[in-house]
Amino acid sequence: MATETTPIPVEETEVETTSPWNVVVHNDPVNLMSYVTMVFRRVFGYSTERAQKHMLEVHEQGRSVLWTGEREKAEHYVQQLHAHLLLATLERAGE
Amino acid sequence: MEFFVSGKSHIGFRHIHPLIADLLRALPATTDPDALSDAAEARLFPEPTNSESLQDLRDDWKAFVEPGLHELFRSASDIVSADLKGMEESGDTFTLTIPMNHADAWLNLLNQARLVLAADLGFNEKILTSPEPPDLGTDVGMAVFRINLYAFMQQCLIEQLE
Repeated sequence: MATETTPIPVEETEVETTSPWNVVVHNDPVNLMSYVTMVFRRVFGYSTERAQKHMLEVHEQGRSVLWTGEREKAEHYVQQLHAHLLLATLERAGE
Repeated sequence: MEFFVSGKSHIGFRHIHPLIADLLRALPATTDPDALSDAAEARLFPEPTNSESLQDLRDDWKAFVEPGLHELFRSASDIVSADLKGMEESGDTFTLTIPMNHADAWLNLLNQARLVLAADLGFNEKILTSPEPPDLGTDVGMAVFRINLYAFMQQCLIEQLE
C-alpha cells in the first residue's frame, strides 16, 4: 500500500526567526572616510583592509552589508553604529 | 591652529584664533537636543530599518534604544563643554587641552555638529567638496567653514587614536 506524505507547512514566524539579517551601512556626505573606517574596525573588529573595503563600497555604491546573522546581534550592531552616528539599518538577507 | 600631543595623557590645539575659539564654544549649543530641527533630529536618530513591515522594530527602537543614544550624545556634550571652559588665552590666541580619555567624546560631538549643520542646510557632497573657499559672510559659507574646521579636528583625533 502506497503511503501518501503530506508536506509539513513551515510557519512564517519560524522563517522569520531563522532567516539571517543584514546590517547595512548607507552613504552620507558628511562622515569622514577615516572615521567610517575606524568605526568599522571598532564595532566589528575588522582589519584595516577589510574595514576600508566596506568603507569604499559605502562611498562608491551607496551601501555595504557589514554583517549577516541573527537578528538580536544585528540589532546590537546597528545600535553601535548609530551611537557612532553612521546611517545603518537592519534588513532581512535577500530583501 | 596647530594640533599637539602632550605625553600620553593629553592632546590639544594651540594658536587658536579668537574666531575659531568662538566656533568651538558654539559646539554644545549647535547640538543642543532641545533645539534640533526636524532634519537634524532625523539625521542624529535615524530609523533602524527601511523595511515597511518592521514597524514593531521602529517602535521598540524609539522606546528603548533612542533614550540611550540621547544620553550618550548629551554625555559627550557635557565632557566637551567642560574642556572648553578650560581653554586658555595666551596672547592673541587660545590653547585647548584635551585629556586623551575625552577624545571619543570630542569625536562624537564634532560629528554631531557637522551632521546637524549639514542637515539644517541640506548640504550634499557637491557643496561639501567644493574647492571654492566658503564666503564667511553667508550662513551657508560659515556652515561649510565650520564643517571643514570640525573635520580637521576630527582627523587629528582619529590619527592619534589609530
